Amino acid sequence: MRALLENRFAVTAVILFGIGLANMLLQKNLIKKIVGFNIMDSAVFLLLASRGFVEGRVAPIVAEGMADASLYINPIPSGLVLTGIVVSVSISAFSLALVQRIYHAYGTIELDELVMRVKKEAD
Amino acid sequence: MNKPDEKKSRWTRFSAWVNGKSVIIPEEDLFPGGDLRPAPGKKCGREFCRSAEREGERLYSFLSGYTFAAVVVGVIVIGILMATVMALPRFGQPDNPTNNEVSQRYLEKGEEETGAPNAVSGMILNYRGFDTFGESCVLFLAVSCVFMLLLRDEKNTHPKDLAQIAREEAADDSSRDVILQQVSSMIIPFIFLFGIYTLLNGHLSPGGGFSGGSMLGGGLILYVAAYGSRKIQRFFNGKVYNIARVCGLMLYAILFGYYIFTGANGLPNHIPLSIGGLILPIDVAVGLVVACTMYGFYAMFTKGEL
Amino acid sequence: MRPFVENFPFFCIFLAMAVGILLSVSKDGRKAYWISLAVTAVVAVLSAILLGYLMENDLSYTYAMGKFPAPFGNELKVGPLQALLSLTFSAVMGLSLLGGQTDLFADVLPAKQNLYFVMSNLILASLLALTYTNDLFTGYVFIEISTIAACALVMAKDTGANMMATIRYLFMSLLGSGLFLIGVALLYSITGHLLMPNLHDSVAKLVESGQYQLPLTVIIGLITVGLGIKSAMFPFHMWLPDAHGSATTASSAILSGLVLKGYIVLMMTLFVRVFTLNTLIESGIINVVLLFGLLGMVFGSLRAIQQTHIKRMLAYSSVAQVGYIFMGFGLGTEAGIAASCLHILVHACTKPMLFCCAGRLGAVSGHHKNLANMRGSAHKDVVAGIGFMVGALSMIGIPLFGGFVSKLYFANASLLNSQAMAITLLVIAVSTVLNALYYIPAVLAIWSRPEGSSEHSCQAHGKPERDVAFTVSAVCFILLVFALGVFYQPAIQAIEAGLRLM
Repeated sequence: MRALLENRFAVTAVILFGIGLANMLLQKNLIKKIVGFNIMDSAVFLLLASRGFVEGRVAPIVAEGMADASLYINPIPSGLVLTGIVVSVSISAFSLALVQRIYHAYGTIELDELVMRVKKEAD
Repeated sequence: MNKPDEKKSRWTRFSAWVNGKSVIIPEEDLFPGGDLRPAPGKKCGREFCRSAEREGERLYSFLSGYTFAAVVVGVIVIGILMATVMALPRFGQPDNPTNNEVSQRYLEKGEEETGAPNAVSGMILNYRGFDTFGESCVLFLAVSCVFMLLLRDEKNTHPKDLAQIAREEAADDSSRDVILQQVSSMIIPFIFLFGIYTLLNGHLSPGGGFSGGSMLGGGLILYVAAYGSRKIQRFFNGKVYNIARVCGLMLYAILFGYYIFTGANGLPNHIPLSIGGLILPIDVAVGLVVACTMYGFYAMFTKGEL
Repeated sequence: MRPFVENFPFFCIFLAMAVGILLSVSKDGRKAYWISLAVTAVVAVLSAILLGYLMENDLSYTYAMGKFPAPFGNELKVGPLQALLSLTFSAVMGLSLLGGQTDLFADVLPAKQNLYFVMSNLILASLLALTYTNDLFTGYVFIEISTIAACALVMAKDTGANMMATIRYLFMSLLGSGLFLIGVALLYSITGHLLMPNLHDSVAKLVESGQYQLPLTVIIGLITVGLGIKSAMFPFHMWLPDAHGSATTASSAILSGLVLKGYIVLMMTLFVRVFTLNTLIESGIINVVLLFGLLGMVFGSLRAIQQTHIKRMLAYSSVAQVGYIFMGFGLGTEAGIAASCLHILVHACTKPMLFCCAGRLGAVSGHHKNLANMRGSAHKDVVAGIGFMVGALSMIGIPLFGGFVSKLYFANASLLNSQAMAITLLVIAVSTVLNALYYIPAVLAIWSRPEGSSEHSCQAHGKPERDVAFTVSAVCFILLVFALGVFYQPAIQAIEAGLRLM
């Protein structure tokens, strides 16, 4: 229990990751799948950001004449999260555009119906 | 007794397959209920002519099996990850492995080496600037992909759609929302101002190209929503858009290329550190790219043209 | 001041990226096409010069991307193996674009052709970056670039089936990058580094002290599975046949010849440079990789046998060939990895050739992709027929062709691993027979004249137009495959030197 509390952010991140993964694998609606992917990515960002935090320290914007590393949190995870967010935005936009085109082509975004319609088209 | 017979039948099946008349091993023999979507060409064989109902049944049974497998996989993944994070270094301790000489250098030497008191900006745009260049390219790529998909062309637009879009636009133009227009005319200057402020102060305070750029993009989107696309096309049409986007990225590429070349070869570079060094111009470049990307997404998803 | 030639990797990456960015404003698809070809040629020449320089001096070096060396800034690490791979990648990229030219301009709308070349240039840049990088996070960023660009290449043909294949590919890739990213995050949190040499030291220390054993094993697993999904490792290959089978010819060639290899090369770099083979053997991950590789070799071929659509058959064959590469990793020896590297080269040369030839044969037989409708098509374009035959024989592993040499090296490497020797040799033999079972009938089908009069079919479609670009690329590909099959010693030397200097 103590261990759970001490690692609460990482545990939350794993739970969120699970929710996202389940959504991505199980949802039949393509947009819900994309949302699931976004949840999954956010979970990874939470995990990453929490690894950079150090108790009792402040954001890494170095004040005049106080360039002492023991005052600030670790800047690296924040930077990595920024990169990750940009990537996830790009991919969400791309996949949503794809879904829009698929809807135009087949008139549905439910995966099982889509598979049936693609089959019918191939026949 | 029927060995030659069997052999012959195998041979006929084989030659039939060579001639493309059937498949050598019927699919069910190998993968019962396997693939979601067999090749289109296979439908010619006798055994593949199924009614749609049976296809549906097969799909359903496949999907229920898939659901079960997905749940099992998900539970296993979560279990493993949970056990892993419990074994990680404790949260928020100063002596964790992550707080090593690297972050120390970024914090303590960052300002004199990069000219940015904001250690995150210093890190992403100078120490690890190549990653960030890749990241800007991801944005650029994403918007190019959306162009590829949604930019109106003869394949994805019917004349009917065009007519409807024209009708809607005409309706919008004739009755613009007054409240929206009034409020945005008051807000938009401040959005732009704040965006530019964030953009230019990325090396001193929280902010920088990504956040400032998305604010500028948001301002543009609000402007289009309030005043219609015809108005924005007077100063921000497809041509200007492309030039801004490419100039932003090329500015980044050239500046950072110069920095890498001099840095790796041990040459002195002539980038002054006093006014933010590399960070300021790169922030501006990134801001341009991000603003264009945000606006591009909006324009593509709503109208399919700039 | 370092020798000027050492700047070439950086030049290559930036050249491909800058051209990719600039092409997005070009209006003319043809011009963009020729510029892209020129870029691949320049990159190939620069890589060849670099390779010569590195082999002559038996040298590998790190190249800081900026003023700050590891562990503070991004870095490239350049050795003979990396130079050889980038030479192959750029050359094959150029030849694939050349070979798929006709289909490409027919399948992609004129207004969007320039975007296609934006994608192909950025794929080249990301392949080079994945090969050269010495930084885990740079690896992640460029994985994403190549994922998005590869999806764009699949959907460039713009039909409903393409869209479905793309979205499947995209979702699987997203899952893969999610797992890879969480692996990177965990690895960072137990080591505090992102640069590979420092990661290597930290991992070695952790292994020695026995700290964080569980997280380390999980991290290796996550990274392997993440990259495995993207490179169509056996149980995660479901997206590949649709994506590679339905795309335009040049896209299929680039995707299965090159894009898969980028992820595999990154995985190999991580295995050798960061985790080291001993750690992998102790953690047991290596056996999983071996198992997946062996299964892929058999099941990929079995599925290929069932296909009548020629491109899907080739796509399933890619699953089997990727299985060979993972089997080489799974042997857990230097020799196994060297054999895998050789196979990466061979497959990168052979599979694009097969796709280009298949595309051309389909085109001359009236745009059919079904083997049944392509009977006798080799007589209509002899070069394509010969190219397809050479590729097929190379994939089966007939002496004189590239595929034979890599299979020989796989067999030799498996002799060194006493535990897995028997099963590996057996599976190589079985897989070779299975390869022959689908390639030989396909070759027979394209060379045998259809029943009835041959003039009839000729009259039906008329004399097919000559395709000079395709002929040039097919001849170059055939020469490449022969070169790898006969004069393979230089390649082996470069690979061995490269692994030694990793």
